[in-house]
Amino acid sequence: MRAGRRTAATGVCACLVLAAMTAALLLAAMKSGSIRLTWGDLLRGLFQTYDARVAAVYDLRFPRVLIALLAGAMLSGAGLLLQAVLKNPLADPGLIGISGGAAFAAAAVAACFPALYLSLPLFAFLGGVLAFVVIYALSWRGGLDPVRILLIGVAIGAVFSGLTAVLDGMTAAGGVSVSAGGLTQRSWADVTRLAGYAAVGLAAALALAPACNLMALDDRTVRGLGVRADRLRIVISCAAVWLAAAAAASVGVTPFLALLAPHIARRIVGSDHRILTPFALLLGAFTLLLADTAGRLIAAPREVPAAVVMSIAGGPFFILLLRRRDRIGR
Amino acid sequence: MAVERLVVEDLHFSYGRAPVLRGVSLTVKPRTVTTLMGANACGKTTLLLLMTKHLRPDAGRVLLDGRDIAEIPWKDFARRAAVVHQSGAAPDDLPVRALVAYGRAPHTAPLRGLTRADEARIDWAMEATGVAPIAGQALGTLSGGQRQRAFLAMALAQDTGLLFLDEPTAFLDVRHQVETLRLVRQLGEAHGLTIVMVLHDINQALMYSDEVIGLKDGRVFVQGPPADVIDRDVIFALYGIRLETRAEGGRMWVLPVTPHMGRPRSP
Repeated sequence: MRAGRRTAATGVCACLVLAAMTAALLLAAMKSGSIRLTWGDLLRGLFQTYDARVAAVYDLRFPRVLIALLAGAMLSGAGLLLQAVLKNPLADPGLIGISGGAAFAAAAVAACFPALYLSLPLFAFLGGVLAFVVIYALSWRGGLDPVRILLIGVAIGAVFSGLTAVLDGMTAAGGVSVSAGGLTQRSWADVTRLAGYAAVGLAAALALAPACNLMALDDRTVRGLGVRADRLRIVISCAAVWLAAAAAASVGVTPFLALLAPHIARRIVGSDHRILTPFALLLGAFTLLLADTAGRLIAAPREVPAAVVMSIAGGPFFILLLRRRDRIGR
Repeated sequence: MAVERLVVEDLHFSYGRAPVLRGVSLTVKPRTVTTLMGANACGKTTLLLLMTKHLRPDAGRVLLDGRDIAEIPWKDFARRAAVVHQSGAAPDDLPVRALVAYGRAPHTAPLRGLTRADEARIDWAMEATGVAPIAGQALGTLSGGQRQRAFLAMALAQDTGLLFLDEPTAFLDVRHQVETLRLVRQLGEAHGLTIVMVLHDINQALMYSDEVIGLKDGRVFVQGPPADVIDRDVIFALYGIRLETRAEGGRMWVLPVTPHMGRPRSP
């Protein structure tokens, strides 16, 4: 029974708090790791005198941390848009094979045409679109059954991850793996490459917030308001696949993040996408960075990939979500 | 408000191979309440969806002021006709006013906010339907009757001459059914709306309609003022059951129950 205005105010506050938390996490992530630094070391090394350790951190750790932030926001945005468009809170581009299709396309192009490295996300996008169209076509029975789309998506995702593994096996003999290798060994070049795609996708996600709100109504109601629901659906889907694909081409398939972050966000700030979208993007960035940083620290000096951390943390959460749906009684 | 002339010409429609409408022709009288009646699966809702562009006919046309609605863009159509569907979905935490504000979508350019005139129309629609006091309340907290009125307010905010209602009383208890229908009639009379609705309840159709259209076997069986065209035989023809009728003060009622032959069961 909250008034609309109060919800908006709480939402903005929640965004600011989360932004502050993300900034704090960012600083902590930059500082901690196998090379130990104090705050003083870090600041001096960055701004005053050359310090080999700080330089190493600047070249190795900073890009990784920034990519985690970008990819996290992108995955969360992809999940949020996909959930809006499919009217299905369980939609996750990682689970339903869109990320898998994108990762495979990126790996295939990297293997066959290494010169196209910079435009890999574009090919990943095409792979993601292909996967999405196939999933959509196979799931459509005069409507989209939420569970059916998940089952078909899991199957498609399995096929693509198998194909990617085959590709990897063929090319790894030559010493280089072509599939996107998570967040390790990232350079500033990777950051700038991802940033362009991220900027386009994230801006689209924010701009589509009112459209996502409309999609929460029945399609018939939306059309009755003079809005082409089918066109809107295609536009939002493209933005979702773009985000998921560019993230997958950069860091590979990261399960559950696109499911978890939007869902928690909805719990905290409600379903108005004008607040929900920015919050979910921030939360995605925060979560992936947290997973990556935790993965770096848990078993140091060895690393647990962020995708593995997300699987372990996200799996139980997904089951919880399914059980909750059951209780609501569909 | 512009008077919209709605004419249906020889409409045919089928779901797959099962024909639903086999040549429906009718003219909706402007500024009246017209109710589509008939048995289950007689095609009432299908006809309503065809008249609102949501389905495409296999053959025949629906004309709005002489123009085939298939050729009218959605946005233009939405400025002239509003539809309240049965059980519209919306997020539980959506405030009533935000839902009603969606009704202005056909009149606002994309990325342009609401003008003062839009706001005024939204407030007016909420006043007219009695949801103004709960404007800030979330949809999930409303009763069925309040929710129905919120959706009705959204349709009114669209500022159209034509209003379609698909079973506006479904899922409501009897008090809210009557209140909703009285509200619909009152709005229609006060603002000169042309209203087309689908109703299941025969007595409600007889009571609240200026015109009824009875569908049978995919065709129009009767059309006209209820007192003129509906009698026991027509009810039997439409619904396949013989019901007792009562006449009082120029109005007719049916008893939607039949006596059963056995003795009452002892407790």
